Amino acid sequence: MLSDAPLRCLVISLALGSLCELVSSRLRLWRYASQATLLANVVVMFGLVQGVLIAGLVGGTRPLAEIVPLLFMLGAVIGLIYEGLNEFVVHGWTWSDAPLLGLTRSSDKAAAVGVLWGLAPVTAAILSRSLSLF
Amino acid sequence: MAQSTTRGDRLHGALMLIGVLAMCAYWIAFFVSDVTKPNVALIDPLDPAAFMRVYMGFESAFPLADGFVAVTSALAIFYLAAKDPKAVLFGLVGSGALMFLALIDIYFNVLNGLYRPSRLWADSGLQMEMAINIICVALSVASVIRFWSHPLRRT
Repeated sequence: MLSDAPLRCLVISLALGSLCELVSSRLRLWRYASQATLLANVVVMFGLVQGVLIAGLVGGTRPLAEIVPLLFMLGAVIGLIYEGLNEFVVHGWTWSDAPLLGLTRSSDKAAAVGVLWGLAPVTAAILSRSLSLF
Repeated sequence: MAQSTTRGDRLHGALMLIGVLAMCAYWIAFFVSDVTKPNVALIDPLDPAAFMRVYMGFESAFPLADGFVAVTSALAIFYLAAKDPKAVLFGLVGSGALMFLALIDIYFNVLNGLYRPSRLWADSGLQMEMAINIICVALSVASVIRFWSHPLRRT
């Protein structure tokens, strides 16, 4: 069960995405324009893009020390494009007045979260390797 | 921060975005295929395996630093779109780091004879390497000049 790396990464990333949304909802960090956007964020961006494509397929079975910088690079670059598209074009979610990592301006919050997206495939790849040991 | 995005900013942002995406594509290709690797039998026919170890050891040290260039450049594009002066900060940091990495790569290639015309002519991997080096230096210089003279630097 879950012996395939991309499938493991999908499940882990969906769990990570759900956890992030739960925490952000409790802290009222951002607000979605619709529930469909929230679902797309967790399923498409967390699960499919960061989980399956980056952590699962690009990460593959290569040693973590070799591949972690590339996973972070891909996750952060795609994250920044994603946050930029939302901030300047789509407006699928808006930032609350609550400070995030000490930042108060919405563009700074979006940029910081864009870079933090780099941790999503790294975390998924690390957890996926750890789970495969059992 | 009230300036509108100029055509020059859009072109600059688009070129940097292409550069960042190309960098990501290069490293994906490096890890999942042999398309970026030189023909080592042509470079060192006597001991290709030894040269490959040196080459892979050298190249494998780049992803973390290239990641830094990609992320700072993506931040520069982001803040350029936001018309925020932080675009200048991240643009200069990313462009300077790109020049630094390009010069290390170029000097490794020169010292190891990878830019000899006979080898360049015969190996598409080396041709790609040289094209990347030239583009990195050109984009870095152009970016530093443009960011340093950008109106956002004075806001």
